[in-house]
Amino acid sequence: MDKAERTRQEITEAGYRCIARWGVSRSTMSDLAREAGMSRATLYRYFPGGREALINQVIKDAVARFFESLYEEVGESSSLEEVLERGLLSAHKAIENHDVLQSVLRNEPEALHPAMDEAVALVHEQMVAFLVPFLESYGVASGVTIPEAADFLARMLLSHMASPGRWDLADPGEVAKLVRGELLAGVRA
Amino acid sequence: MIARDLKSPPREGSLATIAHLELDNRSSSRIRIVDAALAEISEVGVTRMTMEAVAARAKLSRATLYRSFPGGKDPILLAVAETELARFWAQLARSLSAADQLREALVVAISETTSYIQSHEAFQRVLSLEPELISAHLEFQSMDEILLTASAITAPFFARWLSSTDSLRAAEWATRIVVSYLLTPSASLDLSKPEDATYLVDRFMIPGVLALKDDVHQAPQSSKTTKQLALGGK
Repeated sequence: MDKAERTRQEITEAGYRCIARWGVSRSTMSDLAREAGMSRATLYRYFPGGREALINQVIKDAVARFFESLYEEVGESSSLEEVLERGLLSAHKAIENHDVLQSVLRNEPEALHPAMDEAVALVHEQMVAFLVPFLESYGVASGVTIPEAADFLARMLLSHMASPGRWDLADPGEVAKLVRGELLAGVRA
Repeated sequence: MIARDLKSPPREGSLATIAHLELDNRSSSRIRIVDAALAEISEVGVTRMTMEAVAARAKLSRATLYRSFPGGKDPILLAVAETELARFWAQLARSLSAADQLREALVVAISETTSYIQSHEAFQRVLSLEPELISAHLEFQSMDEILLTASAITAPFFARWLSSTDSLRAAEWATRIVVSYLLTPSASLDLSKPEDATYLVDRFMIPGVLALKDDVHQAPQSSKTTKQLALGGK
């Protein structure tokens, strides 16, 4: 990482601290500059798109970090079922316990967009890529292709982890039922 | 703004009001205002919709407008949303009642909902001008509420073939699918087309629904009977 990238990263981290403290709407460019330890003019040099661009970057970065640690946690799994079950249990817990996210959702959910919309497309692609090797190892039913299975699973996993609906994702039994029953029934060979 | 109010499932009273609105009472100020607001949103979206513009479209004075909707813009938006939702559910209910098999019912639920959304001018306008107004409602807890409401409304239509628990799960799943493809369109599947919806239902939903039915937690049933019930007849 060169110096400029490192500084952008530090600014992004400072941005996250501001949002954690004041929320998105109330974090002004002055607040962000102060937290990053620089003048507003300098801040604009690193983020010519201004406050929106910076907030955008902070959100996307937070999403990226969330999934990085999720993939790290479940990467060691020895079966497709295990990946999905551990993934859902972990992700659900992490989202519930994510104070900053929960606070933004409570007070200013629209502040997450459009950054969140952009992040979702990327997250979907990454999850598909993550699932493909597992599907290749463990096989899919005839009549289903690996890309289609990965696409469908990625969609359903993201949907469930963010919005459990009627499922109790804190209960490993329910998660197993969801994964082995609903999600994998059509996929598995 | 509109968020909080969309969250509650339709109350008896408000559905009765909407039913009244649907009757041919075009002279009613209220229905003219709701129609005008819908038309205005179809053109400029929600944020840029003004009371003045709605009044002009409805050919009513602002005073009349405020008499029917003393709270101003937000109650009008709520009335628009409730009216459109009621119209949608009525249409979907008719189609779902006509389905002969579970498979058909799932395909209808998915393809008709997708198709309705795709051709809904006001919704598409908001989606193109101010997408955050829509996507904010389709994630996290807001989405949970949509899942609960949508599944409660459509589950009875699956009850011909599934237990009430399984019907709720299937209805919730169908809702997730519609929303997922709405937020993240697919290059290969257009779920407004029955053939594409059928592809998805056959490949993933039916096996999943059957697997949940045959789950050990429930009273054991013969798989054959289960499959027949789901795919074959009554």
